Parts: sequence; structure tokens; C-alpha cells
Amino acid sequence: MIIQVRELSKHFKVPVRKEGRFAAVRNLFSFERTSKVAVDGITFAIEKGEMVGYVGPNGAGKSTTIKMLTGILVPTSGEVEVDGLIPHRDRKRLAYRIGVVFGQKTQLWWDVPVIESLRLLKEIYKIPMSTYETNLELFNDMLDLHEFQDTPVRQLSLGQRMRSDLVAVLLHSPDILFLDEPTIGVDVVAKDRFRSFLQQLNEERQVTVLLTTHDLSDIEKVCERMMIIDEGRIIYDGAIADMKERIMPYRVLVVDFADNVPHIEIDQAELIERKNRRIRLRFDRRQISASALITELVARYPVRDISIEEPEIETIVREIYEHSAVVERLED
Amino acid sequence: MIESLRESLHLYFKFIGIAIRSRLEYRSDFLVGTVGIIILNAVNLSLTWVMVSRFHVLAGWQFWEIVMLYGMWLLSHSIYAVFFWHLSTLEDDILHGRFDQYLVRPCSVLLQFLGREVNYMGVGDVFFATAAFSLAYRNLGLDWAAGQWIFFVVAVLSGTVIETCIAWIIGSLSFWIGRSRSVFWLSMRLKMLNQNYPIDVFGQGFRIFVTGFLPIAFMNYYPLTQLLGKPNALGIAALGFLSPVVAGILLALGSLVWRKGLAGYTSSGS
Repeated sequence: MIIQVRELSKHFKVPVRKEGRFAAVRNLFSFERTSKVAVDGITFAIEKGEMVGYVGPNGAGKSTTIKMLTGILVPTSGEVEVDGLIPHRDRKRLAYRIGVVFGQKTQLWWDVPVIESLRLLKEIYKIPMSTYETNLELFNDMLDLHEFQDTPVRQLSLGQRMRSDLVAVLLHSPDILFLDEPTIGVDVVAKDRFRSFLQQLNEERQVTVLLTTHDLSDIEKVCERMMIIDEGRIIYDGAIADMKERIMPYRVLVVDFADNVPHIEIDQAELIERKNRRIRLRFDRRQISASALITELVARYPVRDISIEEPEIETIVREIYEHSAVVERLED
Repeated sequence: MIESLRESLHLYFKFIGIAIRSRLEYRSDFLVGTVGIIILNAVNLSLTWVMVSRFHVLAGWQFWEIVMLYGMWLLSHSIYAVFFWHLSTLEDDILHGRFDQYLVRPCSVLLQFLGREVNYMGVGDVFFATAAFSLAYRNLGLDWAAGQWIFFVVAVLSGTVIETCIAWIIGSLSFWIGRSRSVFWLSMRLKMLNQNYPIDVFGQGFRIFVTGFLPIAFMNYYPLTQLLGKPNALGIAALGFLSPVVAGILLALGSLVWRKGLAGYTSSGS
């Protein structure tokens, strides 16, 4: 296990905000603090070479987790081990083995050409010349760095900046890559490129990746495993394919008719929409297979065309969030 | 230890190299800033001249002695201004979470922060300070021996350390209080009084304050009374030699506050 987390928690002290009359003035003189739980006893392990998506709504504790894994934050309690090191204690040693991208901020020096930043990083990480050159050449091929390496960072497009940032954190050949919202604001083409780059990198170098993003399609395309965190607790951890099965065993059958839609009555499917000559039927795959349903439909009605809708990962995740809220209400 | 120091210096100069190149990206800003600061200093000093030319002597100090006081302060200040001015913007790095970036690199956070910027405004200060000091030296008919020059250089460098550490400590307060700019500006105003006038012109309370609490009188006043053979306002001759000691104490204090603050940052994440 390259990353091992046991019962990890992080509490923050935050000032108590007063409300009511003269709240602003009373806040100024108040030193009252309260403890806020950002991460609440999470446990997970990641194997070398795994690519894991880490999702959750804003303020769920994603960034706090990443900050504890990279040594930026000291945990309140619990254990964390990354590549055999305790991050906040061996921060500098760990830094040589990990790469961290914070999508909101660039690592690069704003006013100088990209290549100057890379040269400086070579010094900071004491990268041998041969490694530096090999890596630069490889990333050049994969990300077309040469197109903008002599442009100051402030003049780069967001996509180019993301590519530069990736190169910057990969120059020292880290074993683990932490990506916190790397594709924020980046267009579709650049996103595609980013995804295939990650896959190639993972195949060639067995780099372990932990990726947080708002764009679930990033995760669906890149990762096989996904962890969902909500209110500081991990509420799902498993294969993405499994999740679809377990949370969303439903499929939707879209049926077009040649003529006016007849009255439909099928036991194992539910009619959810009827519009012109098209209907949508939801069915549970555990109760009836798609082929059985189609056979039945075709036998009984004048069907012209049929297609199946897979559930969107977005829908699934929304379902999970709502589900956890329901569970909590029951627990209270 | 020596090896890691050598390595740190090597890296620091690399950082500074990038910082200089970043500045030169904005050439006209650099020129306007440098010329502007020279004019600013000239105006500042001429105000003192207006005052001293009225009274001829200010609390026992002649005009050229005051120019020297000003020049000596500005020499110390200029080194601080070029390399360490951005300590006063430490709060921005803390509030904007830029420390996160520093913390994931295998290199000292302080080094990365200090190497982030150079400030061209200080270049104008260097020119003006050198000119003011040379003129004063000539007009006072001074002829220092090697020992006095060494004393002078040590005093100027101590002055830089003192001013830098004050900014460092105030900046580090942001780790706890979020913003410390107001405290910083307050200390700036006090420093300017000390830059323009010998502390003899102020009351006893102020003299004690700039000696014992915000020890900016050690940047120029005390070492200069020693060099010019003048009595100092508190009448304690030893104060003239204490600048390096004060610098050392502030350095220790600064590093303590910084470490505490950084440790707090990693447990609170600002």
C-alpha cells in the first residue's frame, strides 16, 4: 500500500460569528472559537499504480485530506502514511516523491517563461541532468510543451498553464501525483488531452494518482476506483462500475413507435415519460433483462426504434449525496 | 551544516535570478520607480534642511551630521528594501494560501518566500544613500581609520538585520491575526521619524521606546554617535556598540515567532 490512512480526522478552530444587532462590531471584539470538523475519521488505502477519483461537494473535506496526505496540514488525530513516510513529519523527504497540482493556483513563476521555472525546479529538486532531459523530452512529446515553453506564464491559456503545471510537478519523476481540481476552467479539448496524458503516464511509469475534481467525467474516464466524501466522512469507496450496479441498477429504455403510442402495460417496467411517438421506460436490471423487455415490447406493440440510456455518473453521485442525507436524518 | 548552507545560498541566488528577470519584464515601471524614490528622498531630506537652516543646530546636531544620520539609515534600509521588502506582504501569502506551494517542495519555506521577489524601489535608495553619505562625510571633514570603517559596515549591516527582523516579526503576526499591515505601517511611521531626526529632539519616553521596544535607534543613531564622538540621548556610552547584539537578539526572536507561526499554519491551514 503506497497510501495508508486510518481513522484520520482534522478539526479546525473557527471564530464564532455573531448575528443580530451590531454583529460586525461584536465580531471584532469576540475571541470565542468553536471547533469545526473538516475530516471525520476516514480510513482508506491506495495501492501503487492505482488511479483514484476523490469527489464530494464543496467543503466536504477533499482538499483537507489532500493537504494532510502531502504534509501541508498536521492531522488532529489518526494515522497517515504515504510511501512509508509520515507526511507532516517528513515533509521535505516526501516532497521528492510526490507531485501536487492545485488547479486554482499555478506553481510556476508568473512573469518568466515556462522553461525558466522548469530550470529552477531542476535545482530545487536536485534533478540530474540526464533525468531532466529525458523527462522534458517525454513531456514535450505528450503535451507539446515546446509550443509555449518560451512564453511567460501570465500569457498562457488555462489549458497551456495546466499542461505546464503538470510538467512542473512531474519533472522529478514522483511516484505519487495529487491533483486537486486540475481541470478547473479548462476547455473540452484540453481536458481530453489531460486524461489521455494521465493514462499514458500511469501505464508507462506506474504513477499512483489521487484526483479530485468537480467534473465527474474526468474521473469516469481516468479512474477505475472512486471515493466519495461528504461532511468529512467517506460514504462510498469502490469500483466505479460496481457503484453503477449498486446505486443505479436502473436503465431507461427509449422506445419510438411508428404510429400513435398505444396504451402500454408491462409489469416489470415503469413508464416515466410519454411524448409524441416516444416513451421512456425505467426498469430494474435485477428484475428483467433489457433483451427480455425488448422482446416483449416488440411482440406486443408496433415498435419502430429502441435505445438504452446508461445512467450518468453525475446522477449517481447526486443520488448518493441525497441518500447519505436521508441516512443521517434517520440516525438523528 | 556548512554544506546545507552552501546549498541554500546557491538556491537563494537562483530564486533571486528569476525574481530579477521577472522585474525586468516591466522595464518602465522599474525606471519610474527608481527615479521616483530618489526624488522622494531628496524632498524628504530638504524638509530637514529647511528646518535646520533656521536653527543651524538641532538638539546639538549640525545639518551635515543629520544628513549622515539619514544616509546611514537609508543605506541599511536600502538593502532591506531590495531583498526583504516583501516581508511586509507576508500576510498576502498566508491569506491566499501560497504557503501550500512552498510546503510541498523539498526546500525551506523561508528561503522560497524570501527568494520570491526583489524590489527595485530599493535601488533608488542605494544611489541616494551613497550620495548623501559621501557628501556628509566630505562636508564634516571626516577621516576614518580602517577600524572605524569596519565598525561602520558592521553597523549598517546590523541596521539591515534589525529592520528586516522587525518586518519579519510583524509579518509573522499574520499567522495569528490574519492581517498585520496596520501594525506594519505604524512601525514605518516611527522609523521615518528616526530616519530624519536624532532622537535627542524627542522626549524621554520616545527615546526609551526606540531603544528598548522597537529598537530602530540602533539602525543609525547609536552607532553614529559613537563614530562622531557625540554623547547619546540616554547617556549610556555602551549603546553605541550594541547594534550587532540587538540584531542578533531580533534574529533569534524572529526565527522563534516564524517557527511558531508556521507550525500553527500547518495545523490550521489559515
